[in-house]
Amino acid sequence: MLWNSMEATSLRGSIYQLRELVSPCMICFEACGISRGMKMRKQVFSFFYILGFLWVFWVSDLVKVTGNSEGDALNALKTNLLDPNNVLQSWDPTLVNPCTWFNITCNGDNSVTRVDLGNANLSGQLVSQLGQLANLQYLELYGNNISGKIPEELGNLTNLVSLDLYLNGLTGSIPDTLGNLKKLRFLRLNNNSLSGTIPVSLTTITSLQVLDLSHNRLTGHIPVNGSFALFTPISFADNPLNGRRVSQHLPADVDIKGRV
Amino acid sequence: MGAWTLLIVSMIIYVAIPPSSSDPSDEACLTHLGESLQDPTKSLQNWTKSIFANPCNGFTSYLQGATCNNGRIYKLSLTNLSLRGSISPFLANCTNLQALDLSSNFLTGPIPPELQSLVNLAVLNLSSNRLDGEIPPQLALCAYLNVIDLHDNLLSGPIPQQLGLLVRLSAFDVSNNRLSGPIPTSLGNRSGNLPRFNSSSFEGNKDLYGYPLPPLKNKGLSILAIVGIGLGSGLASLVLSFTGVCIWLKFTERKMAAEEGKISQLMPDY
Repeated sequence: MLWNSMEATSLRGSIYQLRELVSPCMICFEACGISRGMKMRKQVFSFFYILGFLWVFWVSDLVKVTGNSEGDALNALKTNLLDPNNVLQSWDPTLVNPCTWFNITCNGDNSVTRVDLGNANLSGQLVSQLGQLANLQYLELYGNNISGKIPEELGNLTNLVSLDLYLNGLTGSIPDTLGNLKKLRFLRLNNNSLSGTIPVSLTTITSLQVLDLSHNRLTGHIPVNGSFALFTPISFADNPLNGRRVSQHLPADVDIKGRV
Repeated sequence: MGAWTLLIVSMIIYVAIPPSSSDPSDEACLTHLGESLQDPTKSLQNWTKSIFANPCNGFTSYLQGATCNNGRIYKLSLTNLSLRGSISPFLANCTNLQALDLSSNFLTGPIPPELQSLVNLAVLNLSSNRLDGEIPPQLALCAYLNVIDLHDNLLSGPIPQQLGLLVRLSAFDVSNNRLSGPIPTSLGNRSGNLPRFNSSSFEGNKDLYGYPLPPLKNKGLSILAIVGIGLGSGLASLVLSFTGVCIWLKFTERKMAAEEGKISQLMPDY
């Protein structure tokens, strides 16, 4: 358990406050004539002291668990991004949760459901901590200059409905952990520099309505089974897929022999 | 100084508001469709010329029933709006269209064969309308069709066998129309891994026959029955007439015997 300086100072402050609270009790003991000897008094005092210490310990731990883990995750993203337009200025990590931050939406339990940072002139890279936002439904990071890889931890966002990372400078391959996003409806990774093959695990996402992987550097073949049966060349255009650039080229299962 | 501020302000506005894209093909497609459709109940709220020119802003659509992707119309869903009129052949200009749903209206006229140009069409649902004419075989050129739903219309003629060539076709329904002729084996009795369609996809068409529909019931008697009845009645009449002759003979014999008896009585004994 790592304590940052802020928490240490707050704890120290709480201990001093507790001492102040306990010393009147000491006076009370003396006044009430409890004089079973100094040893007894010291024991009682130490007992309360330890109890108070543990209580403060426990409460601060609790606060950390309920409020701030999502805020910490988003703060990690903030520190990894360059923000010339100060879009993330309201992102204050000392607040109990990130629900008051601009561009963040929470549900009734103060858990983050939307991150809306489209067209915000951000650059830098994404962080793996994004996978900790367990209730996230919309991750909108499109139209920026974000580079680096798509973190495979995004596959942990099982409530995700929309993943929009299009129009950025992302590289590397599409993680096949994205196949775990069983509620995903919109997957738009177009206009990046993604390479590698299209993970077949994506065909198992039956809720997928819109897929756009166009304008990347993807190779290999285009899956045509499962949810991908609905997708046409538009979704895969301008990639060196199937060994050649895909414009209106038909995927493997569709041929035009014997047509009208 | 004033000019500079104006320039800066206009630049800021230009950057702040993302430009909405207009595509001339989509504009032509929507304009013609808006003219061919009739909307007596005023259900299509913002189907106006100015919106047709700029229907999409990235993924946002200003047009009721239209869904946009990358500035192009990719889905049109105008179901259950009491629409009349017909489907314009210029709908084919919406070349990025992946799903077309005009079901549950009162549309008349044919299914335009020009829809063959919708090369990205994956879902076609024109069910529960009053469309007539034949199913255009050109639909087979929409190679990505997964769903063809034309049930409950007035379509006539045959089911084009070319539709069986659609490798992605997983749902097919032409029930309750006026289709005739045999069900193409490429659709009724598909081979390999292709999904098969059962009789519910074809029923409700009086003159449509073939697997998987059950065989037609004869209105009249079969040949065997006719022959059987003929032979049977012939035999019966033979038997009847034979019996009749026998009885008559017997009757006259008795009469003759009776007469002989009388004569012998009258004859004196010598």
